[in-house]
Amino acid sequence: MTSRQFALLMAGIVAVLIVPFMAYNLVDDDFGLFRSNSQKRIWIQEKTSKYLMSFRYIPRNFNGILIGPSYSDGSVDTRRLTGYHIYNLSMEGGNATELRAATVNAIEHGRLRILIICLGPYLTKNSGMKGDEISPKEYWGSLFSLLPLRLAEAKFSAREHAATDLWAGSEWGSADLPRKTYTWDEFVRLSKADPVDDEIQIDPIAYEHLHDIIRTAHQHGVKVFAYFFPYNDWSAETAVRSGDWSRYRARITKLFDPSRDIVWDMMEPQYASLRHDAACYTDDHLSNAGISLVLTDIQRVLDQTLKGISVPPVFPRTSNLACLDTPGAGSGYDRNTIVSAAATRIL
Amino acid sequence: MVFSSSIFIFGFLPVVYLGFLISHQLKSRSAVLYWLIASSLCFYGWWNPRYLILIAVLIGANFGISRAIAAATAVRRRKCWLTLGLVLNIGTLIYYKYTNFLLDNVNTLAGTHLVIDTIVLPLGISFFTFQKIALLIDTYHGRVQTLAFGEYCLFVLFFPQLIAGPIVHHSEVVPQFRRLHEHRVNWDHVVLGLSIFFIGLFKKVVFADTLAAEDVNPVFAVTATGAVPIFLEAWGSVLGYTLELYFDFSGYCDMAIGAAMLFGIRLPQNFNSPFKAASIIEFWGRWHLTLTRFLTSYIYNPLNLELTRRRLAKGKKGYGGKHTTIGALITLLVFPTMATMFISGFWHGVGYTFIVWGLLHGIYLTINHSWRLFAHRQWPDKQRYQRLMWPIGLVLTFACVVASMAFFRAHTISEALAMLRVMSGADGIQLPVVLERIPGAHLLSGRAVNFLPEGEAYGHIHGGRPLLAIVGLVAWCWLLPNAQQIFSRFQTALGTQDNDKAPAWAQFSYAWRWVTFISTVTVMGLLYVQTNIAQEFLYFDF
Repeated sequence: MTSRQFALLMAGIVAVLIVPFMAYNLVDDDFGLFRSNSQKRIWIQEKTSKYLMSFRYIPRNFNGILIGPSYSDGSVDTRRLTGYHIYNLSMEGGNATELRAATVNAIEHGRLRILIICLGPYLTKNSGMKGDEISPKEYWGSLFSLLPLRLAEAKFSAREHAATDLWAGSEWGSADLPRKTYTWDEFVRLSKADPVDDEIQIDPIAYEHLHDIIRTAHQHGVKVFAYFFPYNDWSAETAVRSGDWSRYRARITKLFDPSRDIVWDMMEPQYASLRHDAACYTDDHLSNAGISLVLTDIQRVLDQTLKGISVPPVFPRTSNLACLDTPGAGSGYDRNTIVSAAATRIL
Repeated sequence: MVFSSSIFIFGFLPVVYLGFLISHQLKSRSAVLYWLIASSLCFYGWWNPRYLILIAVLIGANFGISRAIAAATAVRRRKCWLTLGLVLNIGTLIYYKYTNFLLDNVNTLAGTHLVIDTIVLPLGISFFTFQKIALLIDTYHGRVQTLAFGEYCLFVLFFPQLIAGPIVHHSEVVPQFRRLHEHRVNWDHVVLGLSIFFIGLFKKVVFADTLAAEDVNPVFAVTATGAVPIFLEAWGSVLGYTLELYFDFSGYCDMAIGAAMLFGIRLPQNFNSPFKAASIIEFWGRWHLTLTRFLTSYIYNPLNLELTRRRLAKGKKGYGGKHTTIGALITLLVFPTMATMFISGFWHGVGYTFIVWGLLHGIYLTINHSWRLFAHRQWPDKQRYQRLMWPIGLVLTFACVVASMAFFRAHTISEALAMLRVMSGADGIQLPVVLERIPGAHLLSGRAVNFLPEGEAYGHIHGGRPLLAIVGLVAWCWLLPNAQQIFSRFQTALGTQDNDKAPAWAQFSYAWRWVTFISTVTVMGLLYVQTNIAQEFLYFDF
């Protein structure tokens, strides 16, 4: 064999191995990046998947997004927000830098109308990409990298173990992520052991990245809604009493434009019954009962604000929406009080 | 731009090669030379265009000074120019690399609060500074023919070796640059260049980056906070880092040699299976060869020579042979070795951990040299001695290198010491319960050794993942030939020895099995290139 033949053969073998692989991934288009218009679920690496979906799938198929860290992720099923097509772009462990990558992408690549931000100290506690899940590299990597192989493995194992497929039904970004449930005593002890005030420090870069998100939304005519997450009373007690929460809230609120954005705080007294009900929480995250109440409240604010503004449907409504959970026994709050309470707009 | 990026592999390299072919057709040496210079500037400027000015100024100044040295006839004048050149180069290196470190030390010692903006280290400055210094010294000693400006520029800038070596000597590459336009562009260069490049890419992205992401960085990120790992965790991370550094840098060097080969340029070999070394002296003859050569030629030898002259002038004995005195050993071996390795450590990185790493190797080398003096007297039968000592030396050398790597990677000396203490078993030895089945193992249980369930024995970070991959890679380093041995028939790098060949089954040839192998390695490498794993070359920081 001559060196020329060697080179040509090598090029041929490499092409034979690479081209069909890429072609298959292009046709399959699991992140809706290139051609597919069908509903896309998440299989692996939530952050990578949502980031990639923010290029085309989300801006094409939804008219709004909900962003935030794990507090608005997991089982926060935005399908429950009737009348709107809101994709839950929240990320487990996501900070403002990571959320900015996906949010700015989604806003700039389409015609989103609504941006809902779940605010909390975790969002701005630190900055930078945590780990290596989000990178522009993954765009073409979705065609040829380890990502499609991991995806194939996930699909295979999901078929094998359908009962444990947490991301089944994640076409709108939510998933059935496992959260621990505790007894009342455990819950109170853990909440006190992990207080919010541990997290109230605003990283200047993260703060700027959150500002970028809001600025981009403004530039593209996206209506911004933002709510401060209702931390349970035990974990937020010290922060509220010391005034840290008020200072944090004031600083974050400055990022918004009072004339166009809607910002409200679920740490206000009218949400007290929610925050004092262990049944509304798992650990420091919301339980299904808590999620239902928060979603109902978001629905109310959206309805009040966007009355008369048409938000066209994209997907047909799916029929597998879970019914709203009933609150746990002994929860001691009146759901209607929460639902009907006029949220105090900060802005 | 890094070699393991898509932009380099699919954009830069093909474009530069195409331009090279076109300029080659013009039959003009200048066209080829300046095309490669322009490409190299583009390669360097991709990272930060601002530093193009710095490198251009340094090249201009160094070229002028080397010309002035060559033109000057009076020794004093030549010395003045050389001093100016050394001050310029070393001063620039110190400013960019060590200012913040020195300032921190001044602040600590004097209690001051001097602050300056963070100085960004220009990429590759440690490497190209050494090349320029070597050329100035050789010009001073009259060992260099006058270089044309284009030749000098390409000698410093040639992109395959610009940012992380090999540290080339002008006598190795300049003659090749002069013949650039004479080369017929041939398929041998393409095949050999790409094959070596993709083997290097494989080592870098598949081995080094994976080790970093899974075994090394998570553990050191935790130990940096003061947490203490457990036995296998510490071994996994330090051993993992040793392998990561080797595969990272040797992979990079393979890529550099491969990329240069595409243009018909042979760069010097930089790694020669260092973990196969049976002594620390041999290790430094196999690890980062071009740095060892620079340090030996331009620091150790001149220092040693000067000290020997002084001793001999005083009528004292020199070093070597049966009658070496303690005084000669200290003055002519310990001192120059420690001084050279101190510089080596400080060159590698800014911080006390690197200095300790360098000094530790200085101590290793001193012990090794002293042992040789002693061993020659005790074991006159050299062959028998070699047979006996080779396996002991192999394991001992590897262990010494691994131990020193704890300092190389750790953020602080105390962190490294804590790591070594855990590795020594002083904090107890936690092993997976499966090993308890080994006959006699139960006798150890409960004393220093605890047998734990898999998930706990490997620590939280490794998540119960056995360290088999690391063991496998150590075996790879010990048992398999390196890239230059595989391609030894084609002399793809300078400095390879004719008798240092791979066994027949592992020698590259234009055969089906090699097409299959190289193609597979290429596809695997490309698969990882596009995967989002951090791909920073470790030696970029040095």
